[in-house]
Amino acid sequence: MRGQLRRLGRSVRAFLRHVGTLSRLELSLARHLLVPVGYNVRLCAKITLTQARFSGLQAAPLLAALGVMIGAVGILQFVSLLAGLADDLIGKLLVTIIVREMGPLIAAVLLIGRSGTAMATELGTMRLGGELEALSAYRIDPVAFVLLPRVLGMVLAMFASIVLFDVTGLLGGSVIAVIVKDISFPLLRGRVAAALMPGDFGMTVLKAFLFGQTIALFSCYFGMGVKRSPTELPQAVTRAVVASLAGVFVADAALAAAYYLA
Amino acid sequence: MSVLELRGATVKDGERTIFAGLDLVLKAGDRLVAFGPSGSGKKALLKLAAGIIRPDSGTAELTSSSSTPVGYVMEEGGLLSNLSLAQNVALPVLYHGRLGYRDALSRAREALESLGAIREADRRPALCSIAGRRLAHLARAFLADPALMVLEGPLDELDARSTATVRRALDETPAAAIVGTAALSPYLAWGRRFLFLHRGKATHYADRASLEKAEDPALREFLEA
Repeated sequence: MRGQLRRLGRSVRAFLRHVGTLSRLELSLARHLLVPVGYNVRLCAKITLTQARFSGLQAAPLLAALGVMIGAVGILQFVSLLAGLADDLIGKLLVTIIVREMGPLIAAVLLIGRSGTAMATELGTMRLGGELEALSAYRIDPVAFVLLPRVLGMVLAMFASIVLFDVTGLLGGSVIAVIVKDISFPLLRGRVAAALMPGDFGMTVLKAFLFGQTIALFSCYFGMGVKRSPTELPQAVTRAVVASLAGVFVADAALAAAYYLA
Repeated sequence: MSVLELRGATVKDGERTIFAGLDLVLKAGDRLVAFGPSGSGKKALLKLAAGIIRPDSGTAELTSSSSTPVGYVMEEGGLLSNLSLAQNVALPVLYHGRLGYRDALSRAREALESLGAIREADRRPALCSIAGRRLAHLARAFLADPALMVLEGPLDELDARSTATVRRALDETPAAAIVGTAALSPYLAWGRRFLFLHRGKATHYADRASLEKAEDPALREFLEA
């Protein structure tokens, strides 16, 4: 019993230590974003765009294909389940499924698997290769130089990925709806437009910001946690993926509760 | 005026004490060779001098007001793998806003050219020779114009030509310099002061003559090995 309590205490302490360090990192990131003292903005922008290109642009074909398939399959399921229901629901269904729920989540899961893992590995390799130590010797703040551009790049990539998924998902769903329900495409487009609320754009921006920075922060944090050996890298990547998934789903649940219950 | 002051500095690795109670003062132009067998704490001393780690007890102070008080030359690694050698060399002055992107890159290429490493300037570190990477480290340190140069075995694994280039560069630097090495002989002529690290203890030697006369059995054993 005492041993179990001790183990529980150790786990709680470790968890609180992570929370404390991550909170300090968040504060430091916010400070560097607001006051980029002595930092070459052009250099930061260059790394940010490289990160956004890798995370967003290079993942675009896969994300677009997923969007079309999930949009199409989702609407196919609903159309068969809700046979006989009013056609005007299809616009609302498309917006609710694709834009409000699936788009941000699928894009986040894809970016965790593709870019979060790469980021954690890169940071772990930088730590093992002495790159972070060298930065430290030259008084180059890793938060400003390494973390900030990656977080900004990931947020940009997340926003672009969500929008791409939404567009392709709506397209895939619409094609199925037009074929199966025999609705004209202009009519369906009107119904989708009517179902879209101004808050949907705000929510997309908010989710891109929250999900993107959660993924980048956890990936960098656990990657930088590698200390001595390359064998720590897979463990760091696993931790980064699990923490990013948990963070994204918790943030999504909190936002959904705020959106639908408020 | 002193550049680096260590007072009673103790560094530990977990429970193990790497060295304890180290006092060291380096002034501009000083050349210190810190040597000893593997695991004696040379790297920890260099990291402490560079401000990468803090002492577990005692103090370590760099008294330069420069934005880049230290130039750090690492034996392996330490260059950003996604940048070219020239971009790596330019990074500190670029980051601290001393030069714009084009100027910093142009000065970096000049620094690499003066060290004879211009051929590899546009390559990423992984595709460069050991000498190319080492010379890029030196070029980065010189361009940053630091008060203290911290160097991990800067002559190790270099060919004769690169060794001559590095020697000349080290001779010409006006900054205080501290070299950490397991092979003392290449630095005997260059060093002005010596620090023997062995089993958690550090012994100072004011010059080469006092080092060669020393009767410490551990030192004799190390020198004769």
